[in-house]
Amino acid sequence: MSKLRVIFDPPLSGFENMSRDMVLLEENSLPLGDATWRFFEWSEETLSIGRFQKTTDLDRYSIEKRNIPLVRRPTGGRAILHQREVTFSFAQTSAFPLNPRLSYQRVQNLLVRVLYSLGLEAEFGKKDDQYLASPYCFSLSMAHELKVGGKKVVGVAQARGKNRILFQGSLMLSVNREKIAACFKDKEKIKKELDQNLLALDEVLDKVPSRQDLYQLFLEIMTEEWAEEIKISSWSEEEIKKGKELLAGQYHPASSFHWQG
Amino acid sequence: MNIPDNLKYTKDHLWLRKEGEIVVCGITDYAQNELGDVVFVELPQVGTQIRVGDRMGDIESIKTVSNLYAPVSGEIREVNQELEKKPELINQSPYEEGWICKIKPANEADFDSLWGSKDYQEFIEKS
Repeated sequence: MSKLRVIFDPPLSGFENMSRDMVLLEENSLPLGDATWRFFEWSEETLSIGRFQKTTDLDRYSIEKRNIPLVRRPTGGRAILHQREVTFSFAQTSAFPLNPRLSYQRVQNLLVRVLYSLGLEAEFGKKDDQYLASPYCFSLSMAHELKVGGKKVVGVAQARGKNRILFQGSLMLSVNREKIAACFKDKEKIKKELDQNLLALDEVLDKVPSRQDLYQLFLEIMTEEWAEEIKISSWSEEEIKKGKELLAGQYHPASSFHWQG
Repeated sequence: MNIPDNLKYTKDHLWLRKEGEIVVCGITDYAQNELGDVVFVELPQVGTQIRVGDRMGDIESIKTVSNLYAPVSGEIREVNQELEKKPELINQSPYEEGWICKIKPANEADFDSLWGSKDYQEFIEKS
């Protein structure tokens, strides 16, 4: 039976969070076949952008005036302002389908069941939106992404290394759309897109469960859905060392990596 | 699915074509079809010395970043800079206009030992 390690990280800076996820993508300390699920939080509201996303749509003055850090993710996709959400990453150390829609299915099935347990019926988009039409993740939906009532409630992106795949996901609990729009040059466009396409759980549930209750729900469904040996654990010493190296280099807050392009 | 007989292939879904002492490479028709619309390509640096299996670049498609791994050891001699402006060429013309880089192999035998079209066909049918 393959093993699933589950890590609960305390609130960390975006730079620490992304360097830890890079470790999951690059560090070879886990045996092939095993996987890690990581729940994490942000010590402050942070704007993350996709690995190769251009920063030309961002309003840097507005972002810096609001003291919002910008961090570049290892995964693809578009920008997310991390406010109140359940954030997770999942790294699998095995062969995976080349097709991103198929490789996403395992995580997708879990998310469908989590939403269903909350009384929400998830549906899929009818077709892909124009991927580069908006710089914001929740302005767009790909056909395989989950929606509730026609609006996107969870965003997931992927990165693939050798025999290793990393998913990063955000399930929105509550959002401030004005604040998101303020991060972009075309604020009106973003605000309009978010009104049309983004949904947070507090907009459809009478009471949003606490993060801890949601984590528990994820774990229960993982146990049923994936039938793996689940172990609540932590980082190895090598992983911590590698994470610190990344944080001192590419993922340093002052690194040009984040604002390049 | 187009798998030309005159090319060599790797399990990382790259194709290679010999042009004199240089090897041209790109991603296969099967791979571009599975990955979906390519929106960004990070190309290797010309002059870089690579070893088989080294990460030499990345491709982004459908919110997914996929590493590109060196198919042979050698030196990167040329990259397809057109892909920086038109990454969709990989989808439209994977074996011609969508080529990624040209490599001067360090060892001829590296190229000769790569898969032929039948081996690659069998590999993708099993995967």
